Amino acid sequence: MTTADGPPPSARRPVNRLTPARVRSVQFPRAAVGRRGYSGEAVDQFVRRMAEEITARDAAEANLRAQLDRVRRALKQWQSRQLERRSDTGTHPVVTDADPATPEHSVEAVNTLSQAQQQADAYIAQAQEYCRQITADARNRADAILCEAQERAEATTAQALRTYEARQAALAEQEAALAESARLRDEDLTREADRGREPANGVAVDLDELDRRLNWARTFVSALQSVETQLSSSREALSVELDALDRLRQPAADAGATADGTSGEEPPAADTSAPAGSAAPELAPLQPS
Amino acid sequence: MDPVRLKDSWNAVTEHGDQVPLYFYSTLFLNHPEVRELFPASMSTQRDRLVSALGAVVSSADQLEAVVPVLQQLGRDHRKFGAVDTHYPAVGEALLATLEHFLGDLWTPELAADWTAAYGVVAQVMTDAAAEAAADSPPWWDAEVISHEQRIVDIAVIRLRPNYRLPYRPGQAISLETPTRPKLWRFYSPANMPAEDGLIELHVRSVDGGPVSGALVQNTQPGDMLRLGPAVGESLTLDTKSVSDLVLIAGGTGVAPMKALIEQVAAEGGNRQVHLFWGARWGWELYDLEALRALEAEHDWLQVVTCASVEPGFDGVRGNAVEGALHAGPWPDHDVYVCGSPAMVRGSVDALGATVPRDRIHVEEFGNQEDLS
Repeated sequence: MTTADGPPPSARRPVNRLTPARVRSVQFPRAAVGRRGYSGEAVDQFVRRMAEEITARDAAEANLRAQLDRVRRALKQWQSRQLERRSDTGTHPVVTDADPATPEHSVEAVNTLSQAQQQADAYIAQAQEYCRQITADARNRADAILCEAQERAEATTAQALRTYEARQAALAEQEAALAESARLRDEDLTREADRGREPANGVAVDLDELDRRLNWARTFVSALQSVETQLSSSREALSVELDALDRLRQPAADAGATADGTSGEEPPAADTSAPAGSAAPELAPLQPS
Repeated sequence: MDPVRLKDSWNAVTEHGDQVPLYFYSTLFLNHPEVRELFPASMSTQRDRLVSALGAVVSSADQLEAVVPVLQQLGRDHRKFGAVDTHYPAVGEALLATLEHFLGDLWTPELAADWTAAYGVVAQVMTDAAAEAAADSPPWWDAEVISHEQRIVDIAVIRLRPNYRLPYRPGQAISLETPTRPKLWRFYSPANMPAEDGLIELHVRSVDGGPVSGALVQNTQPGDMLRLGPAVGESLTLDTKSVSDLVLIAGGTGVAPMKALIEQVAAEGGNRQVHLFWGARWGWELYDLEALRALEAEHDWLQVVTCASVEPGFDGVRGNAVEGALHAGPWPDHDVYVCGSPAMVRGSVDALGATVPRDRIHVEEFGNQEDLS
């Protein structure tokens, strides 16, 4: 233990040597969030390893001391035998170093018990550490799951709220539209009543009848619209046809020939390009520039 | 007796670290196998304790009267472990054999005489104190579990009825041993004042990997018998000379002694304003809120503020208890009491440091040894 150049025992500072138990129970403060630090797992692993190493070295040292103890005893026995021999040969008797405090048990016995105890300590420490890790891990996971669930619940609630609000807004819009149409209908009714076509008993107005009429009117209007569309496109086609005929008639009149009725017989096609196209080569030079 | 020689030899021996107490206990158990049953299965913390206790005695060998109160306490406390007078010579014998083994040639008859004398004094003081204590209190109290409520997965509220009245003051701790984990004693602070019916309420949190607390929360039921030791600790008790208002800062089961302190304030007339800041990670971990809200409703001098450090949408202070207290502060003229896990207590004392004088901050000296966090 002491090196040759080590300080004398009295000058040694009182050492508090690391014990496996103290190594196992060491706690390092956590680095602040955002600060860099060692991986906690790696540190834990190293600490466990160190505790085992210290235990092993302690045991090796204890074995050496046991050997030393055996050698010492053997030496003492040899010395006392030598002394006995000398006293037998008549030299002066020396007080024998009979040590009454010699331990009853050999150092080996003590060491064996110590090592068994250390094994038990290590197993118990390992079991407790394992239990601690599992529980801490489970708690962290539970926290994470709970946090996530709570956040998800909050998000879902917010989403539901948005959907609800949007629906409310749409409903309000629809309601406004309905109110508007009801207002218009009321106006119509009032107008009708004013015109005196219905004897306005006011309350006795048959709403169903009104609805029926309104619907009929709407259908009629949309039918009218489609008819109008058809008519307008027919009119356009017709006017194109008429224009073409006009132009044809002029050169024909100049040439003294009359246009045959082909184009007239054909209904004006919606696709006006065909007749115009067919006539184009002939007409092109005649186009007024 | 030469104190310097004693210290030098002790320093030389402690260079061998853990091997010294290992050798000591193995020698003791080989010579006196009946002593082994006084100790728990794992001896590692026990060995550390022995070395530091001996170190304390040796370092004050020139003025042993300085350590007499500690030794007396140790002697009284050892009664609950089942230590009796005849064990003391056995320990002395093993100690001398250990010293001799490690000192080798440095072990002289003079040194042996020094150590014999020093140990003689220690043993005498301890046995005297134990004998004195035996006059008016049992070596331990047998206590029956009257009720066991597991409030949340890792916290139980346990009510105990000791076989004799167990005197204590709010804020003190009593040690406890459960038959499922023999020879492992842990400190808990009662959550009530000493009551007429003698019942003691304890709040136990199952510490991760903690053998005793886990057994108390998970494997204990009404009818079980526990052993209790005498009450210890003065640092978390109310300063009887002070009339200052109180700020109580508690984390988790650290609220137990605070409840007892609140009861004491009420019993003394309720003429001190009390602010309790109680924190957990989640709101639902505030396992005794109903009782505290009832106290709050009953006493207009009491205000209870709940704090949760993890729960995102908590309805209260979002942060730990000391953050809640600092937010509501400052408290320059208050007596501040802090109780919780060692990490919580350390953090709170640091955080309070700027605004509260250190001598006004009270923390317990007998925490739960299972709690290393």
